[in-house]
Amino acid sequence: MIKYDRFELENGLRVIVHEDVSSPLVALNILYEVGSKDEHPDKTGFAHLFEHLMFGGSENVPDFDDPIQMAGGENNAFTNSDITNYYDVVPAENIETIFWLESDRMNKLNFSQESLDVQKKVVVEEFKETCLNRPYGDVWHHLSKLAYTHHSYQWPTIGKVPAHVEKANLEDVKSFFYNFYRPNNAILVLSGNISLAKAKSLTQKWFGDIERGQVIRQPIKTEQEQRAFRKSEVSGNIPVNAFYMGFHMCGRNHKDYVACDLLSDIFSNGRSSRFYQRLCKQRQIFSSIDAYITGTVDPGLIIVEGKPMPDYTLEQGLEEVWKELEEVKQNGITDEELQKLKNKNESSIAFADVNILNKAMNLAYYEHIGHLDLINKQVEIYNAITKEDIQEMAQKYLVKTNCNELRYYPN
Amino acid sequence: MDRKIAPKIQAIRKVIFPSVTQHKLKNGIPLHIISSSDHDIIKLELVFKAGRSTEREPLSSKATSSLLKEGTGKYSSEELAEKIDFYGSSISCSSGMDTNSITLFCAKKYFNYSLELVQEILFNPSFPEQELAKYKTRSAERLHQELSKNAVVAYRKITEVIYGKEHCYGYNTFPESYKSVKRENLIHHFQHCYTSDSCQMYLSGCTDHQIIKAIDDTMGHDFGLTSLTPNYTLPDNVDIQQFRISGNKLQNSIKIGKRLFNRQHPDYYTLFMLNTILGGYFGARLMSSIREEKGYTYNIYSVLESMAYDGYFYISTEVGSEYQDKTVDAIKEEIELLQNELVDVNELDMAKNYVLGNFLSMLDGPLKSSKVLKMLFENGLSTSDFDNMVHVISSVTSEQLLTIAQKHLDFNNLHQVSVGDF
Repeated sequence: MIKYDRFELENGLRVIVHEDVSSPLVALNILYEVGSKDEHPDKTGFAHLFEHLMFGGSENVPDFDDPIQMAGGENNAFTNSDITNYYDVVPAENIETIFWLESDRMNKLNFSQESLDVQKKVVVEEFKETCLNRPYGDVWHHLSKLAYTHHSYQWPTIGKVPAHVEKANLEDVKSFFYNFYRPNNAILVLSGNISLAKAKSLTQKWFGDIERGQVIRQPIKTEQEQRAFRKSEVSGNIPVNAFYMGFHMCGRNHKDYVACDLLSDIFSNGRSSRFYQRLCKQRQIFSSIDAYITGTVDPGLIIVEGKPMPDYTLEQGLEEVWKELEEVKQNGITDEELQKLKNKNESSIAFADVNILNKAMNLAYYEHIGHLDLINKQVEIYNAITKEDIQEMAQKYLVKTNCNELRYYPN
Repeated sequence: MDRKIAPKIQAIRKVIFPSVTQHKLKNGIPLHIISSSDHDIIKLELVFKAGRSTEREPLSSKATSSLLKEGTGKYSSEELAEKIDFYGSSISCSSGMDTNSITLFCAKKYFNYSLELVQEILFNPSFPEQELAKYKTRSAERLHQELSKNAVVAYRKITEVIYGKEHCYGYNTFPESYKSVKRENLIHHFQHCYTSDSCQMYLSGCTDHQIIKAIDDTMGHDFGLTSLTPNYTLPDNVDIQQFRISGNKLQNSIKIGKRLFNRQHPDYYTLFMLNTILGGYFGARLMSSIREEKGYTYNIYSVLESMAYDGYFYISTEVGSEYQDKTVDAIKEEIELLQNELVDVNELDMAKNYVLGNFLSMLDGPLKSSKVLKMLFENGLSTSDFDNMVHVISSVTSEQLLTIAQKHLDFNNLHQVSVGDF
């Protein structure tokens, strides 16, 4: 159970405070409601590049990282298709330094050509390190494009190609900043050793005078229902064959979401799960196999991926995977399996609640999806799911015509 | 409020180690306890001197550890997995250079249930031949896949160069190495290393006397004495070497390093600060120069590894292949700068504060603190050494850093390994 208070500043900044005096630290998390889904199809990778630029200094702060490190703190950020999330953790006595830094970069970033030029190179190297030079690193480029024909989830957060990142200019940076990085498009969370009163006065002091903006979003196209099986093949410098399947599912706030999450867990959460035990351990058809959901706010995908052992072809491996999917569709799951998943869920929530930064990020995320109160209802929501719900999800979503299959073959 | 005026920063002066209760089980095993009543969760870690430095033959430490959960007298591998997962517990068996661990995480209400499983794993593993065969096939295949990554190949090479192909800290395995792993090797390793006199236990979370009693009742009897004397031998002295290995072409993985020493060495903590300034955090010089100024890489860092008998230092990065030589030159430049010029006081203060703040974060909560405690004990240190470490770090001077840089970090004495476009 995470106790919290929520309030809003006049400029629209949403603030959530969770006091935890057992920690000597405070975590500050700022979530900006912009992700790669908000990008123009010809300028992809920009939201993530922009995240890098947020560390290049602001009007009164030549370097973002120096003061945090001087204050004994740490910070970082990530971007995904829905959001850009920044976080800082500092000793409680130095929390005001973070207010100064985060509010200054929300107020007015330094639009520096030099920083832009260097960070474009850094991001291109990141692109190479995580996608192009790593075996299977380009899977999201191929799979997203195959699965999404309309929605802007069709490109990964890093961008379609390095060239998109390379052509970003300062005008793009400025307009993106003043459009999306406004207080009324942000959620600020404080978690740790800070009282509500102190959080209120510091937030008002440092963020209160930042002007709200008019956030203009390009309309995001709705993905049309898929009616026929799609497949694609890639060959590359990879050690072994691999397949990835993406099945369209619902979005984060849809009633099916939690049951789909548990459905993927049946196959692949833990060493006792069906895929690991049957296909990896006992029959040794795969060296690795996994199932999970992409977890996006708009309708996402259930992913199944695997690498067959050398004695098996991709076709043989896929046939065995489909048998497992069909079995759940036809026979459902057992009471024990369901109870196990619920217990596992409860336990992972208990362990996640130990960490102040985890709690800060989660609070921000639940506010972002518009259901802050759900953060403390996850156990009961998961516990309400029945075996029939999970079987129904399998029947509804794990069907061939809803499947996008990507195959990798070594050169 | 004037945004031009930065809020005053308070220097971190104290890092207080949370209180540790020492308990001895009936068989003499030390149980180190850090408790808090905040969350109803428990972590119990059993640590044995059973790592690579105790092996008779390569892979026996790792394979023994991996097979512990693959079947016991009472449960098959599958049953065990099912039982561990059922109440959302986790039991992991890990292997390292010097020690191997069995670590339990569970909700407090399922502690007794989970402890019975740990007990099975520790006292009754059966190392089934069939499971071993599967493990060997699976591991060989996974290793085959890992070897397609430049960074993996580079890391294997640099540690091999530093310690030698036959040395316990330096040897590499290949997919075919698994063929020679035999059941009797595992049983031998298990019987001689997973013993009560080689064990330390760390308990953290929402503990109480009933939990301690349960541990004593299940694991407080004698379970063997270590009959293996550690067969650690010093590595041979080697010439400085450079390797260029062909791999994936878009980026090169670069590792530059040398053998040094472990935490017990008198220069260690000064060197630790020097390493922090060179490549130990985001604000470090390598990151500032090679990423933030030049844009050659997404990430570059340097590390001091400390084991029971030795230690080493290396710099690691992945750079665009076209930046290979420029990157090595820039690394050389940064190291030479540390050997020739005093570190500015502000920069040193920043690194100190960062490190002390990081310690605060590492000690935030009982579970994280017990990890630090384990690290200290594994290096033959205690919580009072931690206080001393904080003191040494807080008082290190630029002059000391210069001396240490000249003494230990000559660029010409570093091995270089690059894997990529060659």
